[in-house]
Amino acid sequence: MSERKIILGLLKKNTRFWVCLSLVLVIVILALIGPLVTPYKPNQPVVRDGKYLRSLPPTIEHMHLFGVDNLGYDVFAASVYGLRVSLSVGAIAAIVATVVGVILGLTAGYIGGWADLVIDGATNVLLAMPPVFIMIMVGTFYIVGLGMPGRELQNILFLGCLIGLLSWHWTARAVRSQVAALKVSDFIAISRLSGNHPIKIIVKDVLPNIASYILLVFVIQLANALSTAVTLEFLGIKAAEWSLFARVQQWLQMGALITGVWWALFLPGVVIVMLIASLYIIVLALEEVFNPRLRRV
Amino acid sequence: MSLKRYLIKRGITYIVVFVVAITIVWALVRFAPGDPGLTAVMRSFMAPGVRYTEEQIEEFKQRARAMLGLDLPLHEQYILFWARLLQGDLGWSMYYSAPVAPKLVEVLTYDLILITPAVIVSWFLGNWIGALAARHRKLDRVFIPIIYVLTSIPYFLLGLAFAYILGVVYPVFKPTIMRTDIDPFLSSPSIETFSMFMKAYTLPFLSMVLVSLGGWASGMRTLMIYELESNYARFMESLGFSERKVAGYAFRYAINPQITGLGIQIGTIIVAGIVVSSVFNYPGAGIALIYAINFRDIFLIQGITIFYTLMVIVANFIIDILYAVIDPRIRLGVVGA
Amino acid sequence: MSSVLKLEKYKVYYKTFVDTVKAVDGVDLDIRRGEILGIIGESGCGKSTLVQSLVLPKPPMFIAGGSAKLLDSIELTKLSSKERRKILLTKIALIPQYVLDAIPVIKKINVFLRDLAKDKKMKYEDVLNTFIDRLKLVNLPQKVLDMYPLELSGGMRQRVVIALSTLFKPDLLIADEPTSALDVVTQRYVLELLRDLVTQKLVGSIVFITHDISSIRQIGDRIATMYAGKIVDVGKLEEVISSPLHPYTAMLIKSVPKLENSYRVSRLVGLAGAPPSLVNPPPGCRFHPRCPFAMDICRREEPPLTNMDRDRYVSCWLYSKR
Repeated sequence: MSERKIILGLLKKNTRFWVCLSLVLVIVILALIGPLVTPYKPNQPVVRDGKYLRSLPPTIEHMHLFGVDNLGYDVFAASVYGLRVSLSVGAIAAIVATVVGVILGLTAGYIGGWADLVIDGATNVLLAMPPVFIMIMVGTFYIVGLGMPGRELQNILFLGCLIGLLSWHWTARAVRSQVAALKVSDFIAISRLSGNHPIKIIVKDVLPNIASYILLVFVIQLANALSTAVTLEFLGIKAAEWSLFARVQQWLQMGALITGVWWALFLPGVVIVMLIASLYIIVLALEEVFNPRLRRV
Repeated sequence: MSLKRYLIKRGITYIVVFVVAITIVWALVRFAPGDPGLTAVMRSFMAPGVRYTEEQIEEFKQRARAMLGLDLPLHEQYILFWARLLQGDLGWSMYYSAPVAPKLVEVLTYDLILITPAVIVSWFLGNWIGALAARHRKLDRVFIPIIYVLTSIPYFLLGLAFAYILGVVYPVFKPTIMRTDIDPFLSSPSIETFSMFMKAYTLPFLSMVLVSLGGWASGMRTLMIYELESNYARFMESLGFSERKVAGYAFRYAINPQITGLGIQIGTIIVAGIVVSSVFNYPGAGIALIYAINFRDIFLIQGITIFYTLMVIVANFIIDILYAVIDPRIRLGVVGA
Repeated sequence: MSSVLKLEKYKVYYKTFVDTVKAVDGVDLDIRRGEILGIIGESGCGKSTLVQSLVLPKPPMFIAGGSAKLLDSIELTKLSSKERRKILLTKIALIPQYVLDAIPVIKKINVFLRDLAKDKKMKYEDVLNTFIDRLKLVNLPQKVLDMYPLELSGGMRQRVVIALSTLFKPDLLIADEPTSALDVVTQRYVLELLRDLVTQKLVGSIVFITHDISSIRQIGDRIATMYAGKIVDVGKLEEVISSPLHPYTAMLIKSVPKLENSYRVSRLVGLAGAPPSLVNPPPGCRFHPRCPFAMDICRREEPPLTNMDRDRYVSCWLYSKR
């Protein structure tokens, strides 16, 4: 039985994996086509029959799936538009963190020596100083016009890169230990004896062996980045005006809690939690598949 | 390597890390566009609501420049910064209209009261639950979704949920906390002040504990499952050891990375504490941070960053000490888990 | 009672999610009191599975049929986990292949011993004293007790495991490839140690698993050949080696290099081919694809284990009558 067949076969049987994968896909699709589905815009108050609507709980009629908040905005629209921003920032952050982390981890693990020391030092600094603080400082003082309309794309890119560049240390450590373990294995020794250039060895021998590991790492980074992005939004560091959780913060300030407009506060949160939890469970399922020792027979 | 030498080595590493980290913070403040440092200090001289002439503004600028040492060459500014820091001067906060350092020390006490028990409880409980899930297959099915959902909830969101459900809808606890809820208990503990304290303290505490718990539990579960399949576990089973005994040994192996993990996670948990306290208006650094961000209060943000970096490093060092004491492998110089 | 363990039609399979591997497929074997029985065979023939299943059958391994009677009274295939724990180490003990990390490294050996005593509901002092006696036997100093397994060499750890396994004088001791990772000198030492264990009645009988005939040759009383999940040849050591009846046994013996011969005198004869799949074993005799004497009937029917007098059993159509 080939290795690949076993992996695919095990995956097929893992119901948790498919449930969570579908959830993730649904949410992503929602973010992509959502604005086409809902007739409302997140920054236009809902008017019907000439009257401004407020504080409407979720109903199916008029497509207020998540209800209307206490300021008159449709929550579903806010969620869908906001999700796009959060997801984009999270995705960019995850890609940046993974790429940087993998490159640095490979360098530290394979080349070792002073490169390893420097990277290890950088990792230690990042671990000591909660990167969130740097994100806050940069987000507050370095970004001009954060949250202003018109510069969304740049801001999303910037924020994503910022988060990513401050989150690579975990990946780098993990990759480094994998590479360091591989380095002393026999097939790498043979490759070196054959006179292969280190870069070639890294690309053709080491990388394929840690590929599945990198995949896992990427998904975890994605989940973490989403969580960070959302928390930053809540603290006021947002990429776009309609960033979802910045909205939530506003609603909080406006007393949504006291007036009981729970659908505005929590329904977007439920979506995000389901997304992040699904990502984690996908990683769990993949771990079980790749590592026989974790399989529960 | 003896215990002492190991710890001294770690200590030196931490000092270096601290210096580098604080330098980065300083650089971020110094080179921020629009020089918010200047603006902040200037504004602290100016009374609100009063209009100033051009010359007066210039004068304030000069004073601010002098205070920050902006006329000095860069490296002297850096030294000035460290001199002030070591004397405990963290600048002036616009939002509080008071020096940053004393204010933060006040605030720190409240944060420690919230964070320390939360960390300890969530770590112990989380590891125990994770180990349980690993040992009992039937429990595991139920636990996995619970554990993973818990760890996925952003801290502030759980805080919000609790504040709403248990603070507004069923007003068992207080959704908004004031210092007057906490202080009486600290100064004169009694049954009444304790219940008042718990009314305020429980929700933010629970928010922190539950999310962190999920993280520890999921990690421990994976580690335990891995250990229970190892050679020594099989050997012990073949000797006739009870499943409980074997699990006990596996737990001892599995807990090591969790201890290291605690050091790594401290930073995240501290931030979580800040965020949660902002939701509840808990008198910690949380709300201060939010206002600092909104008001662009640079020295406050810088101060919070420095303080908390220090906290993280100290916590890590304590964990290193504990770890070296517990694990014979470190003492014997055998590296790698 | 002269039979310590009696296996009848014993089957042990592995259930993978794809298919079922028939690792041990109908074994009849008899282990007598006071003997050292060697089981030889290629890697993957099922010998490790056989002994593992006697001690600790864990999923995906499961006992698919047959019976394994220990001491004529304990049916190993039908034990509850509580009953099983009672007989482990006291009546049946296993020296595993993976001695290097068998003993948990995080506790000192005397602490581990204390846990063992507590688990077996015995007094620590008694267990400790017995262990100290065993340490003398395996030539280890007493200070080993106060050390972590990390501080011991591989050979020392193996001797600790041997000492542990004989603590309670088990009726059956199983040694799974005890000499595979050792140099020749240590090999000899371990083999003689095993012999002494039986002579001094510290264990009842020993089952010795190996793929190296020359080691079993030194201490074995009887020898059994295992191929593709079945026992094909059993008998007294010298008889089997001097006149190997089963073609597979013959080839195994011929594969052993002889010290005094150089290649000019006689070439090493290897075994052509590879062991069959244990998921779908070939019909008839499992060895027929590689057997130089394969006949028509070998391809169709499996030969039974035939008694050839003088305590000799073979499973081969060359010797069994139709």
